[in-house]
Amino acid sequence: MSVTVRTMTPADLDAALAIEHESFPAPWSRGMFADELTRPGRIWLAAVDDTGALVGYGGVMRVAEEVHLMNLAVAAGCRRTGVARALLGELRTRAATAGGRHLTLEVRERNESARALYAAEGMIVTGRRPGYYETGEDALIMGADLPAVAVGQPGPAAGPPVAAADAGRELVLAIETSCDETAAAVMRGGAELLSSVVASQVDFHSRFGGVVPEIASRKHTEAIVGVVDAALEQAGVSLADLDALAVTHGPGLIGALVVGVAYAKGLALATGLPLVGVNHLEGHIFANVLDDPTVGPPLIALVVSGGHTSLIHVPEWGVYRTLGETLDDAAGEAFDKVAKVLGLGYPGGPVISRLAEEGDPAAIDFPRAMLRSGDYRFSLSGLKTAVINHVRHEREAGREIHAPDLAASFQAAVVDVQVAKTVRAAREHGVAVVCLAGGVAANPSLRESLRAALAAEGIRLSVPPFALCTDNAAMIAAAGTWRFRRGERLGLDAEAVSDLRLG
Amino acid sequence: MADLVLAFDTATDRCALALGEFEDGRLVRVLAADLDAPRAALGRLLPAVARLLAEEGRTPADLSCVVVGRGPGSFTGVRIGVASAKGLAHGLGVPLFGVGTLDALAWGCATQASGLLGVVADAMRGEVYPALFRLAHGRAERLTDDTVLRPAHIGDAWGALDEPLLLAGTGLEKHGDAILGALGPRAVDRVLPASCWLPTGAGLLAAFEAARATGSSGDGDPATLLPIYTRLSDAEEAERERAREGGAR
Amino acid sequence: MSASSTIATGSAEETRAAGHLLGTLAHAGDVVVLTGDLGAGKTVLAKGVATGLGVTDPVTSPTFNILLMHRGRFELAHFDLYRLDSAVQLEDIDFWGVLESGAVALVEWGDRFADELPDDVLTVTLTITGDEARAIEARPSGPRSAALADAWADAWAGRETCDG
Repeated sequence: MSVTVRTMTPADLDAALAIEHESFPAPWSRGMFADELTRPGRIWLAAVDDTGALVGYGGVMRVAEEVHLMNLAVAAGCRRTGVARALLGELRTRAATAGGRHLTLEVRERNESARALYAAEGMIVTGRRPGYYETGEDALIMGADLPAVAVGQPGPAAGPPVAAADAGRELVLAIETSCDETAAAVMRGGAELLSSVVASQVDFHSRFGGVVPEIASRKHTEAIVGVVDAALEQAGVSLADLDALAVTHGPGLIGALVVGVAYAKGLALATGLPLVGVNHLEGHIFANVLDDPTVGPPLIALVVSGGHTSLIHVPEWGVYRTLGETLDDAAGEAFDKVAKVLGLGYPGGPVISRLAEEGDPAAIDFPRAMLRSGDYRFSLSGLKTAVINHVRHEREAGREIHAPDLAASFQAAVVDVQVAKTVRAAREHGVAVVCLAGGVAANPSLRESLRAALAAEGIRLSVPPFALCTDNAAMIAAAGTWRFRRGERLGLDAEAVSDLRLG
Repeated sequence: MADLVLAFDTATDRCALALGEFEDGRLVRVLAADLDAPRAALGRLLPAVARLLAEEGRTPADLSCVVVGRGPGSFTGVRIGVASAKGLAHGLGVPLFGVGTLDALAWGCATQASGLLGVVADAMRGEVYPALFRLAHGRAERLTDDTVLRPAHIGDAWGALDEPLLLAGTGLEKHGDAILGALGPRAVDRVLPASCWLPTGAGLLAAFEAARATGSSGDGDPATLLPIYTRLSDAEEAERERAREGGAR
Repeated sequence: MSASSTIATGSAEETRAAGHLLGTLAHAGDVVVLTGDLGAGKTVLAKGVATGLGVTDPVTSPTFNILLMHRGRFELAHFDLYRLDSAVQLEDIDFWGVLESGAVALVEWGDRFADELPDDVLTVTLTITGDEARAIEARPSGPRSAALADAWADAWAGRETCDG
């Protein structure tokens, strides 16, 4: 007998009820079947023989990653012919494709043949429910992991079909809590930004000369629901309209990341929406696309922020080759530390670049570390130390610090090295476009110097709009939509990864 | 139709987790699924929730509200629980209520002992979170507010006790001698078994049943529910101080 | 308890090798506080400790992230407390929780919060003695860190003998 497994329909109910009655002492009613077939999150399959007659059926209920076998029965004359195995196999495959990760079921302790079937399928007994059946018999709980399907890892470029009926118009809610900004955004089709809300905490932190992680994590916990509500409201949509969720799962402050990841996973479990994990740095690179959709690989990205200084070659979306990064301090960190030495407050970037406009960049000859190292690595701690020593010497000599000159000279030393290495990387990899990304991309001197140097080589510079240089969720939505289309998913068991790597 | 309530607490190394059925505000059935997950709550909590619901043949949409342990405990642990609960309740559009982690612990003990209970939870860095409860008829009545202090100061904090104490809590692991020394030998009746030292899902639901009856489990808004830290950061102290001064002016 | 011991290194490579050796000797729960001026080589030593623990992923400054975890024979918890202002913030990054979790902890700028550290820690101080030469002083504060310091000094001496 050859058996075909297909989706079960209401037309199968008459035959199914006959099998149900010969199989179980307390059979399901027609109403129960009819109700089950229409419910969301269910997968019901029918097995038919070559004549098209129903020989078995089975159904599972899926809640996020958890899949529970609700019913499985085979016509009396067709048992032990592989029908149950075929049904179970297809149920497992379909449940895994829908996002299921773990299958459980209950079986009568004395139903030896069923237990043997499930055991042969790799299911193991994980518990017992005393007196579960109306006969007073115990149920055994059996369970097994389902095959992983494109979870948290790049799938094939084509990927599983997008859940949204109209691919290209997916509505994605993104959440970002990797550092000191609690942010949420709603985007349609990976490009049309409907809202972007940032509960900026910079004012709260200005007294501390740096990001205070305790306050960041505390504030994320306080702000997250309100920020998401505001993003939905401004976009004019509700949770029910969404097609997917995206969240930054690294890199960043671990205590801050966990708040966004925990919240997003809770939202995903509640709504049944697929959840996508986004690398914060990838988000920064995608910020360029939001402003100019024609920007695309192959490209070189210079990611400069409070925590990063990296040159990245992007031959195609999703492939990130780090050419070099800082050996010690990040560029933004150097700005912050120098601002702290000068007593200029936090964050250091804007105030130093403003001061630098009135200063002479050639006034003090600060070191250009690694300028001639021949590779793409950066080092900024020597420069920071040179500034600290300069300030100390001047004060010891009783001279006033000329803050604009110092700021301009320091900034020039940072910018010179970044520009030189970026231009060389662009030339070496033959790209037509360079993307600037990260908070330091807002620095006017870096933008203009880089633009001029690249223009001389016939290479275009893409810079995100100022509002998208600092941390925001719009860029996470853009990158998240792209990863969603590739079928990538973050499981409910996902962790936050403070040192998540790109690529 | 009974109300289905999901409750969890991740402030400690045990992820306390349970489903409860309430009828007319009374807890009539508890399905506990506590799991030991030291420092792994973020990865393990929600899979365990999904599994518990699936095993019961229920879905998140069947929940009428969510209850979360607000601490005190590990700051990161508490935030994982609270943020997960906010996402769940917000996504379901159901109320989110909070219960103290030490209350959950005490209500768990109340089914096994009665008398005056001193809870001393490990606060790390050489400190404990202490709280006094009166256990009677399976219920736990809280006598002191949440705070954090050195084990040696616990005698002063609890003052003169009119009867010998029962003790429970992970603070006893590291600071048992200091705590017993600070309380004096005659102040302690007995130390409850270590199985009672951590909050349980059943305790959480019992504490919630009592708190809801008195309206002390919050207003149900997922946006406003916050962890109990007991320690304010310097910045927040300063802000609070400023707000008080500003208000007085 | 042993007194402090000092290892002299002549190059960044040697400083890294000293760190590597310390990493091979460390056990779950050991806490090493790293101090020294900017540029003294704390990160170089930390990179060595990481390879000694069998960590294969790259080790960079945790200044921004404050805590980076790496997986080796044990977990390596690499802290940089530079950006913290008050001891209360240690709670936020789960400082004590991580120290008590069985990871090997490397704590840069840990001396800023000396009162908050566990009783038994090994304090390693790097001092610049030449362009690339460094004096690495290991000061234990309890029996556990004393054993680690002794083992480190012995192994370093043994290594030099073999090399010579």
